[in-house]
Amino acid sequence: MSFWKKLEAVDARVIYLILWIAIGLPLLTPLYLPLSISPDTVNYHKAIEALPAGAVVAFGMDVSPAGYGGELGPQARATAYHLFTKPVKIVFVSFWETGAPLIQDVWKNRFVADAMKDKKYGEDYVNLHWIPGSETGMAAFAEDVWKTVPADYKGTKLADLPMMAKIKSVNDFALLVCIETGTPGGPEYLRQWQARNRNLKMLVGSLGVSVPANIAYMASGQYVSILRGGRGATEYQYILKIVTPTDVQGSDAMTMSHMVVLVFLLLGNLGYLATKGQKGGKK
Amino acid sequence: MLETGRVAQLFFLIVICAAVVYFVETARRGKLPKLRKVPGLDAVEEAVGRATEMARPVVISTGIGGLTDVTAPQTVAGLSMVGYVARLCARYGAELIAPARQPYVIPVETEIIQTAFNEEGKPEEAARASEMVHYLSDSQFGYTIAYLGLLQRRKPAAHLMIGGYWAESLQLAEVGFNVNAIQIAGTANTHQIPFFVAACDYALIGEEIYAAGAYLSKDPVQVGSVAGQDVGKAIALVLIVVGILLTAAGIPVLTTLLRS
Amino acid sequence: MSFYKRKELPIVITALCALLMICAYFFKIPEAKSASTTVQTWMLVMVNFSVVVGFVMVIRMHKRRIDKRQPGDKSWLYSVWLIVLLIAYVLLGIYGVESTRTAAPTNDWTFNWVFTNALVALDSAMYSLLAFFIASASFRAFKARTKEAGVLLISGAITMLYNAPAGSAIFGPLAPSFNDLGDWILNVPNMAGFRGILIGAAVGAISLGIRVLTGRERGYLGAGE
Repeated sequence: MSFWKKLEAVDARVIYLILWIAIGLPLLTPLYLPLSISPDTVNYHKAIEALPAGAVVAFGMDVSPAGYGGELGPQARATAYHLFTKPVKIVFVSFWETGAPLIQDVWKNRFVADAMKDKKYGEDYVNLHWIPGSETGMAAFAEDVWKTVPADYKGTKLADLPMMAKIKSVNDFALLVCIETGTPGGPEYLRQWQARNRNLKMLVGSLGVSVPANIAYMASGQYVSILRGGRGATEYQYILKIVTPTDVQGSDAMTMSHMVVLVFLLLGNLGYLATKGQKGGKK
Repeated sequence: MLETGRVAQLFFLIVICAAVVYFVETARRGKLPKLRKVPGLDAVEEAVGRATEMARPVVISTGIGGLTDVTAPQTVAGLSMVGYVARLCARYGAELIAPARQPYVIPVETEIIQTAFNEEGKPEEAARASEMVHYLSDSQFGYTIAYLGLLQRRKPAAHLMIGGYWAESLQLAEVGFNVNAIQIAGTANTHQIPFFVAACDYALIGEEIYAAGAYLSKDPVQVGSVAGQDVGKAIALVLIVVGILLTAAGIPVLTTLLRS
Repeated sequence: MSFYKRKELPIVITALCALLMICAYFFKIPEAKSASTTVQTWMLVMVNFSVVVGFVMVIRMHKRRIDKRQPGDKSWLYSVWLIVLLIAYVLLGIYGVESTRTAAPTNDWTFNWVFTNALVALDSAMYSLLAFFIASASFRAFKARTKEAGVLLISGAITMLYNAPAGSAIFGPLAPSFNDLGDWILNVPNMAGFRGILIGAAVGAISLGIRVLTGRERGYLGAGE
């Protein structure tokens, strides 16, 4: 069998092994491959920088464990850190039951914890935990926050949380930051929150696979900007100057995986073209 | 009386609803609109036939969406396909396996399969409909890993995925390919469509899955609503073209109207 | 037919709830808004109970597997382990609520520890399999068999290079229009395609809604008329 025919028929496990090595190498030691900062990440950063003092921000932690572990965790931590460095009020909420415990995980990050030191729970930030019902829950929350969520994650009534006195519906929020894995996520917030409050700005941290779909919402002005998956997270961390070697390793691993897949694409097509000629033009 | 900024939305909602109702009623009176050929749907019967010949099961799933949220239309589309495929399996004697994620979809799916087998004169198999529907897990990746194991163990000859799929779509499609199943898949989740197109033999894109039930069953209600949907899309097309021309000419009247 | 098996009542309830939501959204009627918020709150309560349905179904299904075990087949042991873990985690959650005297078990470190170190880790591992499947799918499927496949291949390759964290930094200086091309692919053909699919999906949802509202769609109630 010729080399190209062997290549065409290669076992998928060989491909997996090569990819595993390519991704594993930067995870052992960071390669510090170059990284450019995309305009979307710059705009995301600027949108938070432009928040006036006292603005109320909703932080939607709508993530699955899978999304959080990979791309969305770094996005959430960087965004939370940035928000905590601003004189704004943050309402943490989640419409995913798996996102709610991860709010407290975000707070444990050393940069976020450091930024939270001067903040007082109940006055500067609250955690309203999980709201069930998916999009219905979003709609209920948008109409009447107090009726939908009687207490925070520790059972403290909203009446005992000073900052919640002026937050009754979606009209009281200036910005929504949605870190989303899937559904419910950005489009659901658009339908239930932004449709009710046209002045609500939206920033979305999304998975890389969702970026092509989210670009449509950005172009229409419904989203101010997005973070593009893991790459967006690393870029944002560079801008905020909180990038760690672990984050760089993740970024390098992503680059290596992209390059390896491209090499496979090239080899696959070369093999196809070579064997196509030998097979007499068989499709 | 009307909420600010929602007048145009209400207007178009009424127009589209009226179109759907009109075409549904027209179809119920016998005037069925014609649907174009969809290659993926024509291949369903071939896929079930292949499974019968090879004495391997047919696996069909309706995705991981539910019946109470925005993904409900996709799940309903998947359930329509389950009914059709169940009838084919009953007719040809193929084994049917239907993995499910949402617990409340299971009774609906079970009843659909039971009815299909009864209608084909197979009451004994119909009585075992609950064994054909496999509740795997409520967790997305718990469902996925159990589904992958099921594909690897049972090695279906036909693998159909019609409904709401997310990150698990490519995993299911790849393993389905590895076990040499003929694969027909469709979802309206835009971010997963490319994976189905790349990995499956036939892919239904976007609203083709909504037309699937209508196309296969020729049910007047479903066919009529597909025609009504096309009116909605035609309206969107006209608005896009007119909007481009007006915006290029610097006339914001359409934008103002739509925001009113 | 038994009253509880008839489908007219659920259809009427569905239609009334849908009309209420539509009125509350489009019209300035305070009573409708208040009623819709109440109905939404009822819905949230009911959704929580559906978790119990899932719990019962899992136990039933795996108990069936244990009961039907065959000699030599050890897969039933996984069902036993699943039921053990399921009950253990529920008990851990109840303990978390009781020990911290708060509303959420996530305030207890043991519950959180299991969640973060088991569920997050396992879910992330499953999700990471996608990388390998994408590689094998790309190798197999992205072959320029036709002109359309060729266009898909080239645009896919450019987009992949553009999206790689180091891609723009490495190839941007080499080919000045590289970044512009990557932007164009995402912002023009990609966006056009996605917008079309989004509009179609939205219209499909409206169509389903009107069918449910008028009682023409009964798929969610089970099969048959």
